[in-house]
Amino acid sequence: MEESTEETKNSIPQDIIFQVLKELPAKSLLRFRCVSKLWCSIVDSPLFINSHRGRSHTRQGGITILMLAQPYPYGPDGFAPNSNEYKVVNICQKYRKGLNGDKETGASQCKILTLGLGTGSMWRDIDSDSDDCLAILEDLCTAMAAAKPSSLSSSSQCSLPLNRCVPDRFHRTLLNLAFFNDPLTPRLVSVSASGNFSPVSSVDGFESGSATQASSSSSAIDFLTLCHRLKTTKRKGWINHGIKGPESIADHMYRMALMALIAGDLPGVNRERCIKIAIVHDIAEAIVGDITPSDGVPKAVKSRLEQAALNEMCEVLGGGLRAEEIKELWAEYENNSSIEANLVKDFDKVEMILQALEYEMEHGKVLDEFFLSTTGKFQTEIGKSWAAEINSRRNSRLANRLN
Amino acid sequence: MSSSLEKNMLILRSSDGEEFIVPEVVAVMSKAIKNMVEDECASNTIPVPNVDANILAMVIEFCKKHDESEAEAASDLKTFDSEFVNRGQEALYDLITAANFRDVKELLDALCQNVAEMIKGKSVHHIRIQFLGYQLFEILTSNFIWNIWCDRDFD
Repeated sequence: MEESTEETKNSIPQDIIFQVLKELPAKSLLRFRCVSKLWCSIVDSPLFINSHRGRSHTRQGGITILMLAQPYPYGPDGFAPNSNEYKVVNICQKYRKGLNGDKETGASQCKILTLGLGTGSMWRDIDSDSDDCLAILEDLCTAMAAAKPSSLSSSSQCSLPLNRCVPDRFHRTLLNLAFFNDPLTPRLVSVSASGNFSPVSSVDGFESGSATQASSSSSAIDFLTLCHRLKTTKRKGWINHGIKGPESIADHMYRMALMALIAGDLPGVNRERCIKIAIVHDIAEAIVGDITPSDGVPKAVKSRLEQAALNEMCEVLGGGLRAEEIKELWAEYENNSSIEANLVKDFDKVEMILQALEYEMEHGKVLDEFFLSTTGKFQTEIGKSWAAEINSRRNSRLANRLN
Repeated sequence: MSSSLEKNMLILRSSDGEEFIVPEVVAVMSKAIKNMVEDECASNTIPVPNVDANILAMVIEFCKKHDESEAEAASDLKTFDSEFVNRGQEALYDLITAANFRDVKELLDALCQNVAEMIKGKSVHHIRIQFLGYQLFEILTSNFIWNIWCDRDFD
């Protein structure tokens, strides 16, 4: 296959991945632990951490130290059982190169984040020179020394499903946190610490806005690339009926959106929301494909598959407000939980029978099944009247043909 | 050593048969070639398999510059390095393979630095697709199946 030769050409040679990763700031490293098992094992290895530390010191512009750790007396993952809270400590310390090449300690920051029921996820500043901070540092050293390296190095905020070692609750909370936090607040960043070195790892500072932007645009394009499948996946109902070159899922959704656009004003109906729902309602089929009743997949299973696929897609999009909105719109349609959803469900059927009528005219077939399966299933007036119009056109056409 | 050559020159032959006459000081920036020269197992031409003429010319250009400008300001060399490695992904990987295989440390460092810059702000999905040649759909379906599997346990 042509693609597979392309694959070997466009991949980083494996034996230099170590060298490449060594050049990256810790934040990227944490993210890239999820790229593959190989990358993860490289980043986690003590050899790598040591050589990364060695490099950080020689970099220009000073370095920042960040960490996520489990301060004593909190358990693994910083969970305090008695208060049902997670505590995350973030210590940043900037170093500047002194005149004689020695490190000089610059400004330092210490923040604590408490995650738990009823607490807002805000970073709380602690005076870094205070006894509090020193005490925390001491606790950290103790905890680090006591804990097994493996539990310490579990990077809890890896946002990818590959990393399943973290309790689900913790995982989710941290994700939400990144989403609600003001962009100016330092993000949660951790560095895996292992072996017998000091509890702080040297890493570069917070990533700049442009890097974040680059990452968000790259996830947007990834998401859109994925949605390409909506344009190429043909609707199965037509294939099953032997229609050649049938419409795709995107074609179907597009005309539904048009229906919502041209529908007259209805009391209590938000038309824009209908358009949005129409565009989103089959989006999960980009991954799971078009599952029709004839496939024999139970409705609950189908819904579950699509929900999982949708979550996956939102993760590709990188989370955030838009992803939440997509999930919300999709759930609204799936549960038929609003007037808008009712209306779009009707449009779904109207679009289908209209398309069936068009295929009947084009291919000279009779596609009774589609008309029978939708009879009496319309929930709204507009759906009923449009369906009636389509049906009457079909009937007059059938009558003409018989005569 | 052939008589037509000056004493401290070496001939490097690329995988596609082209020959380059290079001063020994430049050639030995490749540790692999250095070892060959030191062990005196280098005849008058040194074959450089796996590296075609195009890439070999680039590597030699890089080594020459580094050899000449040893006395020059480090910042100049840095600008040269960053311009030198600023190439398309394919040439970049060929260069990396060459630098890695021939063990040219300065070049490898500069190249790795460049790749690191390229991938720094990227998402994991992007890395897998763009730099590791995964297919987006494959990742998603495998993750997706994995998720469903995991969800089962939470019910």
